[in-house]
Amino acid sequence: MRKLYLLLLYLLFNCTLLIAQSTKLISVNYKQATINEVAADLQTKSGYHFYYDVAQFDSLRVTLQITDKPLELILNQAFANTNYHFAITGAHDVFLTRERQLQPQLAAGYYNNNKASPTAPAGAAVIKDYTADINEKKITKATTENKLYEVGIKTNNIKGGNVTLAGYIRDIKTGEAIIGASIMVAGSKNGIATNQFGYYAITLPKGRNLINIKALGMRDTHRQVIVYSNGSLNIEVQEQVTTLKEVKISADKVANVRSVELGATRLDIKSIKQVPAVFGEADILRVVLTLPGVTSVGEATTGFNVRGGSADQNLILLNESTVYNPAHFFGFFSAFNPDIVKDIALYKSSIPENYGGRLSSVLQVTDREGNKKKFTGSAGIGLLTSRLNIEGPIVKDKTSFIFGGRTTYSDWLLHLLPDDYKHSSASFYDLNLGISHQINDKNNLYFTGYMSHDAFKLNSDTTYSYSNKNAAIKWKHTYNNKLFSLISTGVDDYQYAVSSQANPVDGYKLNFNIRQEYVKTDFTYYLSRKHTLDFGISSLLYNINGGDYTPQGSASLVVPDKLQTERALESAIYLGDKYDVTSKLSFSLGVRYSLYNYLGPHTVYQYAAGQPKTENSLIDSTAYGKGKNIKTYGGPEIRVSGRYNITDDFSVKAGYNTLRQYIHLLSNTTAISPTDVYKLSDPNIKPQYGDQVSMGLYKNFKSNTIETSVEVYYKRLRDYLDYKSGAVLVMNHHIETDVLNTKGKAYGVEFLIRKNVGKLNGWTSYTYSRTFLKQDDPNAGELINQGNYYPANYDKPHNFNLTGNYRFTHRYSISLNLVYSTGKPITLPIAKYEYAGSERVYYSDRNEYRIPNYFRSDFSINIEGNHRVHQLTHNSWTIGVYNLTGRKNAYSTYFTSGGGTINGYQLSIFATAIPFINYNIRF
Amino acid sequence: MRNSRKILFVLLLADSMWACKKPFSPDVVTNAPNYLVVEGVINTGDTTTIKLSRTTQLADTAKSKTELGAAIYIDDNLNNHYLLTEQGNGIYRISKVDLHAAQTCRLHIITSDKKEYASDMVEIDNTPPIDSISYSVVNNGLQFAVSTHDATNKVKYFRWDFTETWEYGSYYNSRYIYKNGSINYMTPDDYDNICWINGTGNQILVGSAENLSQSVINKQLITYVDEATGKLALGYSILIKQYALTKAAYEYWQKLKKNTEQLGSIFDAQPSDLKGNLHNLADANEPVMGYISASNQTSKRFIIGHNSIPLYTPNYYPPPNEYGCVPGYLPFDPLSTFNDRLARLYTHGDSVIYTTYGSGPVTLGYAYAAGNCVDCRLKMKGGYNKKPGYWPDLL
Repeated sequence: MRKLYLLLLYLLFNCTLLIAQSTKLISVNYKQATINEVAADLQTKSGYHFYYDVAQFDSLRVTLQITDKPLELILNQAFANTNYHFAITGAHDVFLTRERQLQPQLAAGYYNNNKASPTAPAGAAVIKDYTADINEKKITKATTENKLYEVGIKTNNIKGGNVTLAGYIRDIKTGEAIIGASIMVAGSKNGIATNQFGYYAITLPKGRNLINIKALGMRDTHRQVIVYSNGSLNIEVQEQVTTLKEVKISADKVANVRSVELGATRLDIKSIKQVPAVFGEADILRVVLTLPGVTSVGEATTGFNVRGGSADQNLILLNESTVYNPAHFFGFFSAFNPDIVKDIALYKSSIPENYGGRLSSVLQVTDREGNKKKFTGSAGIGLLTSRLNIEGPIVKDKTSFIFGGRTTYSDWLLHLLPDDYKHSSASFYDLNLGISHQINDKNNLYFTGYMSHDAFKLNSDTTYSYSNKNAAIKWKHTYNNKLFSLISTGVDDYQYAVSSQANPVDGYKLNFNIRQEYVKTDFTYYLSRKHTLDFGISSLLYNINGGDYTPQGSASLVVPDKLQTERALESAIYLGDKYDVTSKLSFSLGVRYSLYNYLGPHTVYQYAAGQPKTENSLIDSTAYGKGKNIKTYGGPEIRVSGRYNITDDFSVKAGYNTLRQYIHLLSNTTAISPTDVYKLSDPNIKPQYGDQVSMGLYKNFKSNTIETSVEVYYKRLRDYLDYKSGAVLVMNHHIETDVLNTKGKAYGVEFLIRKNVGKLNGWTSYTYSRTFLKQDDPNAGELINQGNYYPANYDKPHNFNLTGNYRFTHRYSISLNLVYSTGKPITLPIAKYEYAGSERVYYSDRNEYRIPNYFRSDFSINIEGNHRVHQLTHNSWTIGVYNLTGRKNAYSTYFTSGGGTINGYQLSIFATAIPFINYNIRF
Repeated sequence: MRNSRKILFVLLLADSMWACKKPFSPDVVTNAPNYLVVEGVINTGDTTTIKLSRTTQLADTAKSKTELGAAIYIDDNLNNHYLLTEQGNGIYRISKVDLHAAQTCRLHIITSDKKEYASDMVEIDNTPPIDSISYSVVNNGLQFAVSTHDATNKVKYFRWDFTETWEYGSYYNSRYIYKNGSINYMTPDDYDNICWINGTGNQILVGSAENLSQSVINKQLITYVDEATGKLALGYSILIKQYALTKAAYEYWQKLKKNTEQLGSIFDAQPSDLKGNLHNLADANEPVMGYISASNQTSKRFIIGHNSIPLYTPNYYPPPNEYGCVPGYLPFDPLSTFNDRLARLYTHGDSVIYTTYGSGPVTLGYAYAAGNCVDCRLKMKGGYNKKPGYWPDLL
């Protein structure tokens, strides 16, 4: 024990000495300097002697500008990401080496030479925690790149074979988990990404390894490890502070090429915030709309369409909770608070097997975890909304919270509108709360809560309101390095109400509510270097109150009416294997079996077989008791994709997946309206089914700084609902008489070029896509367009997007956003006639014509306050113009009879350039 | 937590026009279909009038294309057929048909090109009377509404149309008339400074008591009359006609209304395919516009004089008024050419003499003005100077 203290004392002394040596501050400015120039310069400025072999350094050129920093740091930066090393001795000597690092200190075991225990470290001068019992597999905290970390039970000589190294990657400042960080073992193609908790497990050969860690928005870093057996290593990484000019040999960002997924896009909040947004507030859904393959029917819409799917075929998850209405204020704002959101992921093609229940896509919005180290917050003020968020530790390093809120004060703007809209009013707010608690190294608990509320009155006496409420608890447990599980349970709730008392006799209130409760377990098992298994089981109970119509006011004669409550259980079991056949060839093989039970109590109508379902063909009804299984649907879903790397920066991928959707959104309006109703599949309404085959080419250029991709897809839909002419969807007791089952097909090609680094960054995409539906069953009641394929409402063949940001300096940047797309299909009048005192119009086949094409350009300037790290608040401004050219884009066109004649009109939303300003503050 | 400093912020006023609508005229339709349009109600209590026309191109300036030379019958389920007589201009008429024994009936049409069309057999509905017509002041005008109920609770759906009549005057009051080349005094029948004119609504007016426990329609909005139209300047009358509808008929009218009147807001339904209850008997796929239902018609009239209207804005007289009516003068002197000049005044142009002029007691000649400043029948096309029978002498 005495010796131990001595050793520690020595090490401590040695360290102090090292620090003392380097305290002299030096400023340098090199441009493509050779090693001789650098050494000569540093020698003069520091007084240290440099020793090196010129031949070894002939390929090095250093570009570096640093003011007043110690020598050590300068050398560190100059050699960052290279295989060059340096060692500074107490004698004012600097040794520069290639590949191998010189150890200027004595080896740790030097002073107790013969008595060294057999398990003593093999010649490494590291600061080691000798108090820990190595058998406990104490998790080493790795913070410095140049240390050598030892993992596992040490042995004298290392035998061959592979072991698993696992742990968390966290932000050193906030303690927050880093999702999607890539961990690569240098010298091999072996790599893996952290999961949603920042957890990784990688298989690597025993012995010494260099691990490179790269993550969005974080500084690239590496760790040197000696691995003896299975073990853990937690890594803390630093945020990419806007540094001075960096020596960056290459940014090894190959995720798009190397991942097995197709049609998946991840964006962090930084990229989202660069996109100019209407009213200046970063808007997640609008950024999603700039991605290839994503379109919307118009500007004031809450929904988006992915690869020819309808708006209700997207599973929108906020921290794994389903958000049914992701928009505020008629769809002008998305319901996600940009100050809380950390990143988003959109899956258009390879939908992970642990998700299901929707046909088109999964949009995952992930909120940040609260800062575990200190209290911070931010606030933003815009023309229409204000927001505030606060985060901090409850128990330092163990428990943290994050809270965010937004509200609007837009009524003043509505009152400026022309008389037609003057008496409108609107208000909304949303609240987010996240609590994360680390019970111990193996157990973590998370709570997330979300609530949003909207109320508005659009120049009529009718009041609309809607609200989302979500709460979820997740427990993550690590069994060992290879296996961990996530168990989550929660409640998602969405409701709306419409009421009017304009006419006392007709005063009414209509309520709709959907509530789902779920339990999910997801396991990940790192079977071997080649296989990572995911498996799990989930169950979801739907409760839908499809409509409750009640009188409002004492004079009301309205008869209360209530649709039958609907209940159903959707369960699924899945298994997935990420299989790396060789370093070039990988597969992701997944299968999911979903089972759906429509449950009582419910009375189900029966219709005469072989006849259109109408009120006249209704022949019987059967009442089922509570909890009785009325109808079962289900089937396997296949999710497979594969990747082959032709070269390191060029790959080919292909995939096929099938999906089933048991819940339908009933909407025959252009946009998703606040009165749209969700309906569960029942004996009369079949679930929707879709499958998609896709293929893509991915190629990176310029040292992987420019990503390009081309993807093609073909998709089939079955039993997608369209509506009979003049269908009544609200308060309909037998909706099956008003809907039609259609078949659909969609195909397209998507091009994307994306640049993530440098002064100029952003992405541009072009998509050609078509979507058609068909109703050709004469028994269904009516044929649409004589049973031929007709374009879906959101069929917009050409789409072009450019989202770019240029940074002049670290404080000033400009952003530009260009959008062009074909106009959406419409049904136009083709003839007119005189009837009921006015000219009337006769309409063409459904969706036979199109509205004019859409073009919009947005521009913004972002001004950051100064970049001093230590100051009370950090401020930033965003000033910009939405729809710079003021183009009057058509939202819809319509023909109405007024004053006895037919007049055609085109309705535009945001028909002018809209300037905005936004002020943000961080504290 | 360190708190934030006091935050100063600037609000820029966004340009207030977000949404806007502007005219849109696509040039897509080149060969418009030529479908038959059938309008009217089988009126079981009064004259049945059916109007036949054809659809036209959107760009056509002509309002409609009438269908001539057709034979139209009302058939009932007792196998009775009643032929309507052609009135010209696409109008076919028959005076009261006695259908009280029948339960259902239909309209049967044979066009001049020998195509045969018929409506479905429709139920004969019994329209309850209108309970009341009420009005309320909205901005600078009157909003009229109708209330009704069906004591039997059978009729749940209604349609209305209306004829409005209003009184108006010309700017100058004349007692002279030009007849046989000379100026004469009018008889009261010729007085043309006060006229009446009829108008009809151009909106589909339907109402439903479907969700109510009783068949009650309370203050269903019918029409809004703004003072700026000049209709309220002297006196205004509205005759509301009410028809009972079946559910299917109601749905047709509702769809037609949605398709042609209620489009253009953000959350509107898309236009839907509209099928009436008329068919080509040989070709079920041929679209036929219109919906035929059968019922009696009940009506109620409402009259209000200007002084009873609770509007406190100055009376508005539509033009031409003092700004547009400039008098001209036709002196007697020289007498030799007077008759010539008088004839030219009436034959070359539209001026009319309305009074004499002079200096003190001496009459020098006639004053004249544009015809529409003097004769109210010229002021508004369709105006008539014979007071309708229901119009009280004093309003």
